[in-house]
Amino acid sequence: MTNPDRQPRERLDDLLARRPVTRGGFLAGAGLGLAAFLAACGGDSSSGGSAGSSSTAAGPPTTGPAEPFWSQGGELNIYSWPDYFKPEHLKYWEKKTGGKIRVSSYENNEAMFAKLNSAAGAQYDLALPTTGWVPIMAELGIIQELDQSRIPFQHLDPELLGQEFDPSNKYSIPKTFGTSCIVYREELTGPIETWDDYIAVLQKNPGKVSIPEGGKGLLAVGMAHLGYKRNSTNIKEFEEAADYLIKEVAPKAAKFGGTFDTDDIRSGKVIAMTTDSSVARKMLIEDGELSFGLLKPESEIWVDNYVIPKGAKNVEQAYSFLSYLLQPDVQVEETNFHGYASAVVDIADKVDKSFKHPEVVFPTKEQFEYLVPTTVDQEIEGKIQELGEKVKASAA
Amino acid sequence: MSTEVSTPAGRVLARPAAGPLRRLVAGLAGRLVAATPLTWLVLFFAVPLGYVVVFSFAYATFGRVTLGFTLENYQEALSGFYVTIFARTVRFAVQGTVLVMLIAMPVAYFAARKAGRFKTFLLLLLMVPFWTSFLIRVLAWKTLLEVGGPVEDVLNGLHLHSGQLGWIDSPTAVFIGVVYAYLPMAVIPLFVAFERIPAPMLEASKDLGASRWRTLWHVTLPQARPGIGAAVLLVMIPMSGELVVPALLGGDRGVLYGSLIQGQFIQSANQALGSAMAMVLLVVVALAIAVSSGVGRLLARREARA
Repeated sequence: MTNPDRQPRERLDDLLARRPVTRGGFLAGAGLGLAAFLAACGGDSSSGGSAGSSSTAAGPPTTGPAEPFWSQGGELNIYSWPDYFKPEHLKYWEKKTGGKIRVSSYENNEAMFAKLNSAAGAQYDLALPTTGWVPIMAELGIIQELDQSRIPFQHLDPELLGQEFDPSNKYSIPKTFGTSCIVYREELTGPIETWDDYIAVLQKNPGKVSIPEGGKGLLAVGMAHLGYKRNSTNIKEFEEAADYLIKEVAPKAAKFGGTFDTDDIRSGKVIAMTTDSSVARKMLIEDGELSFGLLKPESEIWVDNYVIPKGAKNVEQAYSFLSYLLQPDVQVEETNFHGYASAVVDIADKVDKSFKHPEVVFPTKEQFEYLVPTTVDQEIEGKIQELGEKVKASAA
Repeated sequence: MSTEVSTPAGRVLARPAAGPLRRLVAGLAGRLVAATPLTWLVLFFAVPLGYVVVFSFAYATFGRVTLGFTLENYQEALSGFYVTIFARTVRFAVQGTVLVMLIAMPVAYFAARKAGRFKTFLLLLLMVPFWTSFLIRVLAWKTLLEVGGPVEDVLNGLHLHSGQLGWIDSPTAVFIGVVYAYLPMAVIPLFVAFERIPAPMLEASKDLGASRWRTLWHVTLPQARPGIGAAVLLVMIPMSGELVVPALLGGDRGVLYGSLIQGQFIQSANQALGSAMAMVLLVVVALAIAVSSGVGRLLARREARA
């Protein structure tokens, strides 16, 4: 993989240079790679603030244990997105430690949050919230401070560390990142570069194009059309976006969500759909006729992070597991397995030469220009969800 | 326990040998048996319900509930959007119930009165699907109704339809799904009701010159009324809280009240509003039951007078 467009370090430095800095002073202190890129992550309300501002500007550590260490026996309960670990790696850790790993899965951050926010949260030792959820969970005391001396920070991509929502990685360690993208049949739709192109295809082909499931992801389609930022803190803009979607888009949408419904495009039920980079890659591998797109003016990038819930009973095992899994060769193998980019330095260059469709998994410099993480603003999140429901309700 | 001596069987048990100690033990055992389901009900029904009631009057922030007393949640639960969806949900439940009853009545009638020695077998067939998870059965319908799926093939093959079948991710698929899911709930009480109608009554009606339709209208249906009422309630109530079928087969178009409540607990992390909405649904359903049983009694009394 020698495509210069895909040098992670280059593209991330670039991000640093261009993001509008919403909380300038603070960021200057943190001054760290993706932090600026993820600026909006805590940029609204009090959410990111308390997790971030309480820490010093020292930033995350750059060193850690060189070798994995192995805990003795016990168990490890991981609450994760589905199929997110290579089974061989889980088995290897079990063999080395004599411990038992149990993985339960969730399909969205909201469900994960609701579970960890309840009494049932104490049964897990590791969870994987996406970017914007980390500060909320820290603020509500759902997750615990990490013992940083036990994390091999030297293996992690420094550009993914020290993001604004957790400037010294007190609570979270990046696992993988990916994008929310589209997959479409270009011979039927023509080229699709922007959300307006996507909406035009949808309007021309009623019942043949899907839109995101709900909440901010859904409203973002309307926000893009109206020229608003997807992480706006102005609820009025979201209301306008909802109105627009209700009038012009929802009635002609094939369905809401269906990120994993790869059959839809195969059977010809839809000709364009919104999905996730790993699913998109699988679809492109199966069907060479399909096209992939990251739409302008803004598309979503997400970073999933390891966190340890407050009531975790097997903390020792959790650190042992991390010390093993964060080894670069293990991380690269993980990417080869699940198709998401691991948070290891120069991942795009380290994956197998046979890694198919890297363009879907490792965005180019040019694409990184318009990739934005989703923030969770406690003040308006409930309202945004309600607007999303209204849009869905209107499509009956 | 007093029942021991109040029934003849109890008197037999309470022979002289059964001293006070033995009676005490028997009494305790009886209480224990009664206490088990009661504990279960309290733990898994009354306590959660208590939480919902308390939360519905509490103040909510994202992911947190602060206990207190406010009617704001109810105000919101009974305002614009939520009421619209509530009305739509009631309409959905009524339409779904009518569809289920239209299919369930002839099926139950046939199974109960015309199937002869296959009666038990037919009833068993109705129960078989319950051995598989509800989710898997609904997902099976997704595969069946899919574009390019078996239903499309069959309809095309019979020239009843041509080209792609647009049922999946539409209300049509949702109705197919709910009718399928709730049919057994309706058939079972109806089966019992139809089976219990004494044959001589139907024969008498025929002997007196009534046509088949008149017999159905004036003898069979009134006799089966309690069964019909039970079937309607068993179908309509869970249908008003339905959220799985619309999500899986309806492509999540057209939100129903059940998924709105779920959304408040999960996506919006507003347990207070979710609780208030759940209470609204609960109260309306309870009222509906009260009204329908009142109407049933009224009809029965009028008939007794006639």
